[in-house]
Amino acid sequence: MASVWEVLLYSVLLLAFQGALAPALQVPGWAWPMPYVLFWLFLPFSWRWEWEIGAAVLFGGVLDVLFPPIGLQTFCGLWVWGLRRFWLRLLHPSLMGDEARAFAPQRLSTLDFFLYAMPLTLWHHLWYFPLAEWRLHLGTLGRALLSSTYSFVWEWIIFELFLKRPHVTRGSPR
Amino acid sequence: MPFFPYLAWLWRAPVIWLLLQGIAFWMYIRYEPRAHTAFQRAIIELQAAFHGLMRWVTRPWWAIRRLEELERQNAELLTTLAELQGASTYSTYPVGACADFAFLKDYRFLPARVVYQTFHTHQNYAILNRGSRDGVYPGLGVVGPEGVLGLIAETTATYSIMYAIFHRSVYLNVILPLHGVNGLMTWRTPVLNRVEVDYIPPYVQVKEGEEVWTASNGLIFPGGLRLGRIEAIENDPRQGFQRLRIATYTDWHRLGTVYILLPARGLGLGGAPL
Repeated sequence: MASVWEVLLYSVLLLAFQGALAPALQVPGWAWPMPYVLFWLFLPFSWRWEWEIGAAVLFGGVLDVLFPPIGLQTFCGLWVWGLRRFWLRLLHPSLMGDEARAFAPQRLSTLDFFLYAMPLTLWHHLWYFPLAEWRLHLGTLGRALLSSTYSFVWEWIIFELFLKRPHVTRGSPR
Repeated sequence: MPFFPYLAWLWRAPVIWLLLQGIAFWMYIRYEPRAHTAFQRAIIELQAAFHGLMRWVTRPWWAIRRLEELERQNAELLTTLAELQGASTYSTYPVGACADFAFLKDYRFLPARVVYQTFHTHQNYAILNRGSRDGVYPGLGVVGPEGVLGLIAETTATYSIMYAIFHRSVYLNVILPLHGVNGLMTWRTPVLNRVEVDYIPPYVQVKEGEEVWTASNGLIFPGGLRLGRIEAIENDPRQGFQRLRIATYTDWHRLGTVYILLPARGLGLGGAPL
């Protein structure tokens, strides 16, 4: 079970990445990396949902304060948190009960991670960019698509370098 | 756990999630000026659309209420004016229905409102909101603003039934004023706003468009009230007279205020005013 300290460390590192590196890594006018979506994706499934949603809102609130406008990060992040179980159930219909609670995204294979993270990142960005720019324009949608791809690349790098644990197949010990 | 069991369903992840989403979005709308302005505009548009829709939906009720209000005001005004006749200042009467004004000194006009009317029977009638308390009794004539309308058949204290000229039992003595020839008005062909006049001698050269008035020797109406215009002439040689089809001035579909003719000094023998 992932500890609170582990989650706290993730969050601080992701915030630091966003504050320190993201401005330098952006492709001006086209793509903006936002790998902090990982936080909502990697919140431990074993926690009680009250703790999960509290952590999701808290992280969104900190993001809102650090990177305004206020409320937008929380709104988009809650989308990711709210849909991740639903999406996981679509990807792995056999995951039920204790097995679902014990699910750890850290043990996903690269392909599974792509299937799990990419659509939710895209969903996050499709909300974020039109609301932040406050217009529904083709350019806005293009930026959302490019940024979600770019964000996923960074999410993948972080996942492979820091988060990934040995992949577990059905029947093998976790 | 919540204090009230029936609130238990509220304490579920989707509800809390939705609530927090709403709060976050509301905060964003409050914070971001463009979003805030757009939100305010959307609210105003929504309000305007809602009010517009409600106005459109309730328009018939408002129109009916307005019409009733205007009719009531009109009736009150007409009653007040009619009562002024006794003060010998001036009286109100349907000018359009009067072709000859000689009878005016013998009658006064009591305004009335149509409470109900029939349309598709052979015996069309209307219920008026005047009764015996207002001095109305059977046998009185009724005119509209443009012409002859019918006669009072029955009365209660507050209401009366008027047989229309579009009633197959109603016959009126009429006159062709240009020729001084009398005829009998009937409603044999059941077409509203059309009547027939029989017994016009064949030697009278009537033309379409001529007016038809009530005859002065009638028992119900005084002479000189407009009935209608000749629309068609049927000259059948097998008959001993001409038959005229008259388009009435009164439109049975558009009755407004009607006027009951009250003899100013009571009735004489045969219903003729004294």
